[in-house]
Amino acid sequence: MTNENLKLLESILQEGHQALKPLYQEIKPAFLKYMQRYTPDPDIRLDAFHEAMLAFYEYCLAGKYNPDRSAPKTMVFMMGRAYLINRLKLEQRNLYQETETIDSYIKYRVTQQYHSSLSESEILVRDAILKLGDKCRLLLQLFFYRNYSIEAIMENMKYKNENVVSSHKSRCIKQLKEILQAKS
Amino acid sequence: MALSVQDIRLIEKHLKDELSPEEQITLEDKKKDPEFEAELNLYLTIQKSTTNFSRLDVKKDFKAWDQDEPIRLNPLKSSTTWWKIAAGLVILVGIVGLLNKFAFNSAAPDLYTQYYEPYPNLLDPIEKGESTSPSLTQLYELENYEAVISLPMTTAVDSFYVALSFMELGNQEFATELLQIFSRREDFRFKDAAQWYLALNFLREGQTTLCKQFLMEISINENHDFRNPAAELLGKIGSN
Repeated sequence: MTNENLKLLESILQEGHQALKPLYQEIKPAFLKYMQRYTPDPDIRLDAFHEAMLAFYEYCLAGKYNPDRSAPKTMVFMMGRAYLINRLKLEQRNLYQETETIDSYIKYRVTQQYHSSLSESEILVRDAILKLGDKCRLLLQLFFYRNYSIEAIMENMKYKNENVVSSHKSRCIKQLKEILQAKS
Repeated sequence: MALSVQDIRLIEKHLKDELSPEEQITLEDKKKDPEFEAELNLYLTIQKSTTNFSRLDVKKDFKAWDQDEPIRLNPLKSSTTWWKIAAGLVILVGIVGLLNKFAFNSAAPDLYTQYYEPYPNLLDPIEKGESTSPSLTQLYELENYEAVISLPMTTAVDSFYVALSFMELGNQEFATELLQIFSRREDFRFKDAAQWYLALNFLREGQTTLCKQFLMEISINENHDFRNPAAELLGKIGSN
């Protein structure tokens, strides 16, 4: 079992989230069925499953997942349950507010959905990153999101050597700053 | 003046949580330099923003996988008993049903494109030569959907146009959540429109049952603004 867990982890680190697909399809029905004890709403349960898979993925990227200690399925269930319970608690509080002013409830949900992760300046940076070329965007994603080392980026993107990677990364960030300056 | 390579390396190690205790002290000391701090904040922002759009990519694939679930078949053996024959028939009916659903799903994007139109700005339509800064609904009319969703909402109508903007930006899930609220409010001016767009959202997402349910409710309501297109669309979906 541990070997399988380790193989999955290695695939995730090498291939990215695509390596999750077999696990995703294997445990999804059981997850959705299990979470019925918390809510009958299928959309909320599916959302919890997505959040749990994403959380597990990022746990692996951060180097925190130990394949010897627990199986991926266990981790996903734990994370999904925690997310669901928290979300239901929050929404119950806000549903109470809905009887007072539906507009403030809607405002809260939209703010939470769109702005909860990003401030105004972060939105500007995100939009600027999306304007960069594909290679720059991928490089930044590998470095900042998938937590790749310079060496790993060199192998993945087939650069000549690590210096070329560092130099390209600096150019991408310089380009990003130019886009941001042009906007301000 | 640009930071040194060592300073950049220090910042990157901080982002990846790889600083030694000594390096941590060095970082705290360098933060007193405004230029260093500005660069550090920029890198933190890049990390957060990259995470944000990367997560959207991952979730997009999750949704694609939801449409892509494998069908498991149990082959019938030669010495079958009556219950095995019944089980085989159930599987066959299920496959036919799934094929119909896939046929519906493959037609769904075409039907959606046929029937979807942005909702008009009925509140304060832009007049020629108008030069004052546009309102939320005017920004919607100008198809500046990103701007719409970043503005503060002061009324339920604002929130409705925000929901439509999320729809345009491909955030069907959140658009559905908002539209469901408006579709239940009897006193809401655009309740009919909310129900219609909700049905279209379900169509786009391949949620057949919910789509048909809403279209049915709309089409049997004689006073509904979208009664005719709903009936027409329901007829087309029914024939798929």
